[in-house]
Amino acid sequence: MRTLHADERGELFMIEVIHSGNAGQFGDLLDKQFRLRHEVFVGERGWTAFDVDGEHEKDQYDDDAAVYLVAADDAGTVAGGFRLYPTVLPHMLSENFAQLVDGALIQRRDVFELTRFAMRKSERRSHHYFELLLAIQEYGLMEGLSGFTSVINPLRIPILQGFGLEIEPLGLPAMIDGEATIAVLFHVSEKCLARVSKSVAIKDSVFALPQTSRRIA
Amino acid sequence: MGSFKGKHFQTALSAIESIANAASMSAVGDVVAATAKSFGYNHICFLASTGVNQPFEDRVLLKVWPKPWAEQYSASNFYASDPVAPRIRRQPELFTWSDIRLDEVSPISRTIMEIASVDYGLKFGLCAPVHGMNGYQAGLSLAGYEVENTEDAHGAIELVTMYAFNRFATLRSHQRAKLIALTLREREVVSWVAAGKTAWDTSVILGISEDTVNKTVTAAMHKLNAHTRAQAVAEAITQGLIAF
Repeated sequence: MRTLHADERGELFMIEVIHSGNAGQFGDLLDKQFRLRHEVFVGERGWTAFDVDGEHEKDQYDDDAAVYLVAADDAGTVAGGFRLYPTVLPHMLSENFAQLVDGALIQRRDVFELTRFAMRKSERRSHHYFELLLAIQEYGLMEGLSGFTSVINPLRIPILQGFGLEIEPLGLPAMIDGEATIAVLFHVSEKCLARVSKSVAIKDSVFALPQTSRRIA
Repeated sequence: MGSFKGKHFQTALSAIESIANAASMSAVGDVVAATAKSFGYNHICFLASTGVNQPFEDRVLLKVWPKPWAEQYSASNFYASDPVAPRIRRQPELFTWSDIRLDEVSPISRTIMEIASVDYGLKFGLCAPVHGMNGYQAGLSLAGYEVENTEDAHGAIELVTMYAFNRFATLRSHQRAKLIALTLREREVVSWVAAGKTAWDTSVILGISEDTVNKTVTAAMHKLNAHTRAQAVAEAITQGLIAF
């Protein structure tokens, strides 16, 4: 695969990090993210429990502690994204899927939970999907995290391993409401970042702001 | 939840750890075989996808089969009609032989299943496919007489299969990288061969002895698995090791 730099790709799709501190500035993008989640999780997967108004999908973890990584272009079109939530607070794995964890629950400052990974249907194998995969590592390192817990379909493990992610199972796979699920920990490390970066052929930072200016900001 | 880990999860975790530390394909295979055996399977076959038309033997990552079954399988060319093989390619989810509907497979496939069950006493079989980002990658096919047929056992086998394949793939890519890693000098020399220079020309250009040039070309040929200088040049170009 050939490496394309951001300027060669033509469109400047970047990943925005949206949290309670800057949500006002990114209100529109955040709203589009909730709409995309409705499309994917209510429309396609039929999870009706968190259908707010027939247009947005939200649950009790969409609060001030949540951080959203959203892949969007200059025109504000959202290709995909995911949500991060501190594991030191009650979170989805601790409150809803604790039975998937065999052993002690991970509740640490340097581990966040990754949920609601949603890609627009046309973007599932796109560059934006690759950027978001890389963002897991890049954001983790930027924030000094050691990993992200997540509940995923076990069939995704070989796919994500193929992209270079290091995945630790936290329990055996189990069926929940007819869906195969497993709790996992995605490790964050320079080594993983390098592997994912190589496999998706993206060398640049996937974030809109350079890491240095983000730290100062 | 307490910190007590269930037996099967513990089995899976220690297998995954051994797999991560395995330095060779056969060491990975040993872990898979030991895990399968701990659940009562004594017929173990781990096949990789390397092109659909590849013969059975070329795709085997691991095979632990009692001799009579191995001989029967090979002599009767069971692979061609083994009902498990096409399903492993099609379906990413783990399945058991009992999931295979007899009315949906060919008469030859039914006969094979009957022979396995009646002649060899293989009452239970399980398949754990591995499907990656480009679809079907590999599949573990297990069979036995007295096996542990529980959801947890299946989950543990599913996990170990995925991690084993991932390790196989990593080791294989390391092996390839090692094989084609030409030194700077080797690439230089092969480039001059490609440009039509003789060993003597090259020795003058690079300021080294003709003997060194010849030895370097031989080393490059060996790494590229080439029998002639022309083959080495063609292979080096194909692999992008030299510009052309």
